[in-house]
Amino acid sequence: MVTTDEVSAVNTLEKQHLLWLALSCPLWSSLGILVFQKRANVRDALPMIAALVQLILFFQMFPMINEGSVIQAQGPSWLNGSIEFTLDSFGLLFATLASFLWLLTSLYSVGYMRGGQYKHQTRFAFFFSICIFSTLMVALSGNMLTLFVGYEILTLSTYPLVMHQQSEAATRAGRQYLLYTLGAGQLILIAMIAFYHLFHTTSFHPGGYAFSMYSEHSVALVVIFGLFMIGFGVKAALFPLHSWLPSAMIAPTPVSALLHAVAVVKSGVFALCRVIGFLYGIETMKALHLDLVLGFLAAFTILFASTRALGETQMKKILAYSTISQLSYILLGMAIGTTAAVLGAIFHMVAHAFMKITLFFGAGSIQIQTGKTDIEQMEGLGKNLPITFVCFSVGCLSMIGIPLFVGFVSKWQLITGSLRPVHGGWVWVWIASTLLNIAYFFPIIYKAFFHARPSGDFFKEGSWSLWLPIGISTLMVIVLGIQPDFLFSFYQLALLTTGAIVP
Amino acid sequence: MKHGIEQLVPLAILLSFIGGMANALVFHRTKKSVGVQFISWVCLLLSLTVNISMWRYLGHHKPLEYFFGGWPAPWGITFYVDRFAVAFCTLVSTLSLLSWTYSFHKQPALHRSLFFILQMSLYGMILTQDFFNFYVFLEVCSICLYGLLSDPNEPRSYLSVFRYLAVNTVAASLYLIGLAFVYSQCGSLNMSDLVSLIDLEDLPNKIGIGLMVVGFSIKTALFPLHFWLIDTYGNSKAQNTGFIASIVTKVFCIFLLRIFYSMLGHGEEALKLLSYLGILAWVSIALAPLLASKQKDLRKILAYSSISQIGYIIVGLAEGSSLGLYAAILQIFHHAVVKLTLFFVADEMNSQWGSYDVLHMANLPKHSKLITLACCMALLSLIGIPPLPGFFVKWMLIQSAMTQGHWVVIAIIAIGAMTSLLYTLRMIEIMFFPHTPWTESSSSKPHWNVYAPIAVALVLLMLQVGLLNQLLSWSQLTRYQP
Repeated sequence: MVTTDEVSAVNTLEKQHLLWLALSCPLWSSLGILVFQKRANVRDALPMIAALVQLILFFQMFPMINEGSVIQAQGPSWLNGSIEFTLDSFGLLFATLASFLWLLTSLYSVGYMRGGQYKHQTRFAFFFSICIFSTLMVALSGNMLTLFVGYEILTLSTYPLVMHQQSEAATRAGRQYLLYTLGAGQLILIAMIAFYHLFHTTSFHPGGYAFSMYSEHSVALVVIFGLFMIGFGVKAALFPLHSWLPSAMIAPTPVSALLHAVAVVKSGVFALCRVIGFLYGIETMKALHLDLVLGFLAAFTILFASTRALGETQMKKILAYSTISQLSYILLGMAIGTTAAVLGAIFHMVAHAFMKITLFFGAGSIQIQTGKTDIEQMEGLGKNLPITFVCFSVGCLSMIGIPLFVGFVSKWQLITGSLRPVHGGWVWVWIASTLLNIAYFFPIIYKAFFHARPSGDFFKEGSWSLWLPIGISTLMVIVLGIQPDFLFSFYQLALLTTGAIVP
Repeated sequence: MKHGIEQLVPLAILLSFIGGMANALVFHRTKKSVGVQFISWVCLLLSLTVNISMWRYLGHHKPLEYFFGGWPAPWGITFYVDRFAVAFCTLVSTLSLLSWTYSFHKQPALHRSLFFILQMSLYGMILTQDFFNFYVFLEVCSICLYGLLSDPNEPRSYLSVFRYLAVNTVAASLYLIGLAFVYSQCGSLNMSDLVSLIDLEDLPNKIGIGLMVVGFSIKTALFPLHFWLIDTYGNSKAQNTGFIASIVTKVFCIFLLRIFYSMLGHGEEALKLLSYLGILAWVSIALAPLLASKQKDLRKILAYSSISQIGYIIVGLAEGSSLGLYAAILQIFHHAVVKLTLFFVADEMNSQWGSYDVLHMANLPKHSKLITLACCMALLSLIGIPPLPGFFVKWMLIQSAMTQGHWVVIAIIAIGAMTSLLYTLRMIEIMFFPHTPWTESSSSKPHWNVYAPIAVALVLLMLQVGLLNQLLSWSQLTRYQP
């Protein structure tokens, strides 16, 4: 006779192995890439296989998470720190998101890198896999130390990707990126140890630890939060620390698409959400008035970055500034801290990822097919590249927040979350930002479709590996806008997370 | 028990001495002697075996004491072996085996002989309990260094060695004077004896220990007194410097640790003395990497980096907490392996492309994947990227500083990490992203004796994190039993 307890224990063990397997998928892929570096087709197929396997594994784990349990796995432990992995709803959301978009991006990057005849493709593919590994490590980490380890590996493995072209400008961007992020890493390290010093743990616990003792350690807690905010704020591109992101756009487009719209910047935001929701707790944050600090900083970043985007004419630069402002949506949502706002913030991680990857894929395809990167040059291109531009327009519309696209779902929640009298002022930020979004996205669509092509040169769509990923991500933007729980239950996961952290 | 395992204690010293003498016998010959080579290998392997077996034995036995000539403590010289000491002896024998494997075929016989004698003096300095005996080994060590660091093909090395000699003599004299103060006051030079005799409230004792500490601050090349190290490391052969940079300066740190933790039992007065050293170390940590980033010669970069890394050891010791002590110990191990690897890389560059110019590193990835990987890992560990051992040193140092409220230490460690980023980043950039069009130089495939030590060093670096858990079992590092 096997009791129910034993069954669940066996299940947990099994799930634990699945967790290890899912985590190591990108590592196997990177090893395989090194082994098969001479055979380009095998090499480029490996990340897709790994992404698919990992996606299926995470899919398997969803029912258990949906029931409200978590999957834990213990790594090596040292003197007073240990590597712990915990899969909860928030981690699963980020991990599934990263895995699915990795699948799309690895398909896209085959077309992009080969079409653009880039050099060092093996190095590119290798570090890309390592990046995904470290993103998963961030997503699945059970305590701050594990998150930090993943975060630092992520920094290092993105560096070769930013510098990929090895030109003078790329080198400068790479150096700037590394100095910003590794420097911030030191602050995170100090903040993490200080937090450990106060609470003797850095494990993530829904609702946080700090509330019961915030009054006696209020100064220390404010300082530690400040260090975390600066440290993670670099990757989350908060206002004075954002300038690495536009210059890092010199990297090949797949890097900008996945890493600078999803993996890298989102891991900064993700980590900050972990700090707010799982170490401090929203109540403590409010009691210490930290929500105002974070809120004002995020609101300023939103407006500032949108204004900067208006002044840019380079496509990728516009997208970079748009990313900066969208990331702060998430942070502002967390700072407001009502149920709807937090739900909107967490779902916006998903929504923004799909919209932004569509836009980046679009910009990349345009660049590869026509060599044009400036919005002034887009005139009439909509007729030559119909699929790309339709998809790009859908991305823009969703970014603005038109209903029935995914951007609307999160924006609706964010706005309703800030309607309560206490938070009333924040509504104007969303509205102003929406207007600015219209102002910098519409000219592109207008130029592409309603202007005539100036002279006779003619372009056509690229290979299927370029337009298929864009098509899929555009479809996802539309489908998730109508049915947010489609396939991956992102909305359900966001709900679960919100339920866990909002008092 | 009288004639049991403690007879193994002086064996490593004896073996190194035999190796040194065997090599000295044939130093006038131009041809290699197979017999002597055989003896050398046997000596190295045997001393490694002896140390490992003692380490295992001490895992579940009390520390050993060995009386030379059967004379007990106050009169004779005693060696004291606990798990901590034998761990360092194992480190010395491992590193010397690696460095011998790397360089035995290109060393002149005189250098080979000196290499063994140097090893002997290192074992002696780690194990001895007698202050004067330490001084003797210290001088033996210095003489070996003068020989090993002079390079006949580099005339400047003679000048720098001469400077080194002058500075070193001053340091050694300071130590000797300090020792005289302590002896006049306490009437004994044996550490386990002094545990009960010495009282730092007495001014002469304080002056004595203070003078020793100043002597060691020169020897460990802390900031204002570091100039000799840059010159000597920067002008001599990297194959010798590797071993010296990785272990010799550490032995002085170990002795400091012995004095302050085993003998003085980290009392308050004692810690005040150490904290002065700690302040010098802050400057080393923060500034030396800046100077390193300006250098063109890889050896000089590594020399500056050594200065800052030794700073971490001293800061750890000055913390006076067990976490700080663990950090210092781990840093000794970590830095030894890292520096050995990097100096091997420097030497390999010199033998392939004819100079130590750091720009030659651009050739490395094409030259050998393994060496590049080892070099990268070593550099990343220096900046303290998790989960490499360098990270855990910082992790523990910051924890310890936070518990005690030493905010400056925390700031210094953060600044140190940023400044070391400058030179490590530069080297990594040169290796992988040479932006000026770099004309590739041809190279011949390295031999096994280049690959093997670097591979082993890489493995050791990776395994060091496991040491952390061992540190806990080294709690035997308390006061000497009088």
